[in-house]
Amino acid sequence: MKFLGFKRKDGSVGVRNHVLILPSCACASETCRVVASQVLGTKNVIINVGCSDVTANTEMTQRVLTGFALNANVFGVVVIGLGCETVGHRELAEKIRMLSDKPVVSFGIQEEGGTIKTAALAVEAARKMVEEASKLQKVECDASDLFVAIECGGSDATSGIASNPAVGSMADKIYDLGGITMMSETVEFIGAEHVLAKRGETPEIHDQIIRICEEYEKHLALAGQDCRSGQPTPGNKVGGLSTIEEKSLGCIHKGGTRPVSEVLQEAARPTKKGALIMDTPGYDISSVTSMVAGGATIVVFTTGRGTPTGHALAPVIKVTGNPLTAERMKDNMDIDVSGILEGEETINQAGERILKEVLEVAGGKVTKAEALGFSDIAVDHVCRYI
Amino acid sequence: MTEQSTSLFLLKIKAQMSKALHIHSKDNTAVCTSEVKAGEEVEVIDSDGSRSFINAVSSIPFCNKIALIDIQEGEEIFKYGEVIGKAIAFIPKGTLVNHLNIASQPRSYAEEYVLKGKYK
Repeated sequence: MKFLGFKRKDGSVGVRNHVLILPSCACASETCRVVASQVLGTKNVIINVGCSDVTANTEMTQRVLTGFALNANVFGVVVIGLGCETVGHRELAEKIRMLSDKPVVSFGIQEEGGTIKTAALAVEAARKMVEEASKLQKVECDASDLFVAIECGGSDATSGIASNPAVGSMADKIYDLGGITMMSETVEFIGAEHVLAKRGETPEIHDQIIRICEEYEKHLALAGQDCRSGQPTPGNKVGGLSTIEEKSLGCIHKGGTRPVSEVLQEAARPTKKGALIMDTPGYDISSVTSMVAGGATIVVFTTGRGTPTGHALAPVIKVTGNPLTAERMKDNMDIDVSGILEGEETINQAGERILKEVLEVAGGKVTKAEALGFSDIAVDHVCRYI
Repeated sequence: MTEQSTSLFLLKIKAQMSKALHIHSKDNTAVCTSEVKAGEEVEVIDSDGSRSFINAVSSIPFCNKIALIDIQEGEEIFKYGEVIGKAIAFIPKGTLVNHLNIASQPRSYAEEYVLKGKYK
């Protein structure tokens, strides 16, 4: 199975060819927006971190920022910093240069004397970079070049029986074609971690899956919080979810059934292909942020109640198994698999259809969230700001 | 019948027919995709698309589970081909399977590790 994509010098394949206007801290986010609004072909991201943080938070922020820059959907990067943040624009740009051979330039708002002067320089640099990016021709790529993140959000009782199993079927097909799939949301493994762990390719990976669940619960317990109490909720029970195993099983089915070759720290870049797991919160926007930072170039996102969320750098494909949502929120839904509920389509057939959509989107088809320019981001925090 | 009234008639038939999804061949439960009343005939659809029928002995709310066979107390309950809990009472074929007659199986992380202390 083939699609037309952008081959990068390091061999990775992008499905988009963006010039990224990247802030090195929250204070530069708005200036990045101003620059991106002046140059077609650029994408900015709004971040709320980069300053007044403990080391662990800074590490997370840096993994996300460098991860965005390294993502294969990005041609080149214009970094804009403030001047007094934890990791300045020069250091961030240097780090990106060390890890890739993408074009990178950087500017500091305090150095240049304000937003307008910085923007003038950055707009010129971005325009030149877009011109270079536009010269890159698409080439034929293989389904094995796909790196698909799998997410769920705004779930309901149809998610576990229709959209998640259908996306799981798609995930197995991508695995069989030699591509990468990544599932995250550790909190939504809990109660089914023993089942998910069986997918571990080795006993070490089996135990890593158990460990991230145990560590997540311990982490919350340190702050006196408990994510396990009251699960399933009274609403879940009415909706037909009788045990925590049943609830989490509905979630983990979106990842498919193939052996897991690597368990990654949040926002880290994989070293293996195949089916991967990333340790993230169940908070969908944060989870997608981290998987795109990890290198995912397309996101397949299941929802029952419906959600509009999208990402600046990776197209997000919405899949719903709820016939009402498919109709009422068709502005935001890309694929309707509610036929599974009526027996009009099998899970395998729906999986085939989603795979076809993934290949079309990889080749350039614009998703609903992309057309609306959605760019939701949430950088996870290990600890409170300081 | 006109074309429009035929399709309306077919839609009505479709709406009247209660269905349940048998997600995995190992499952002893199926998920009802509409509200089912006691005494109704339910069409059970397998993952491969094949169909069979079961009589609903009790009413089953939307998206809840129906027992496909008699399940004895203590037996494991399967959905998605996986164990979702154990029966805490006898569950007759055709009745509702929910939090009142099945329970989560107690587990501890310590027991789930296969390398028992070898892996840190």
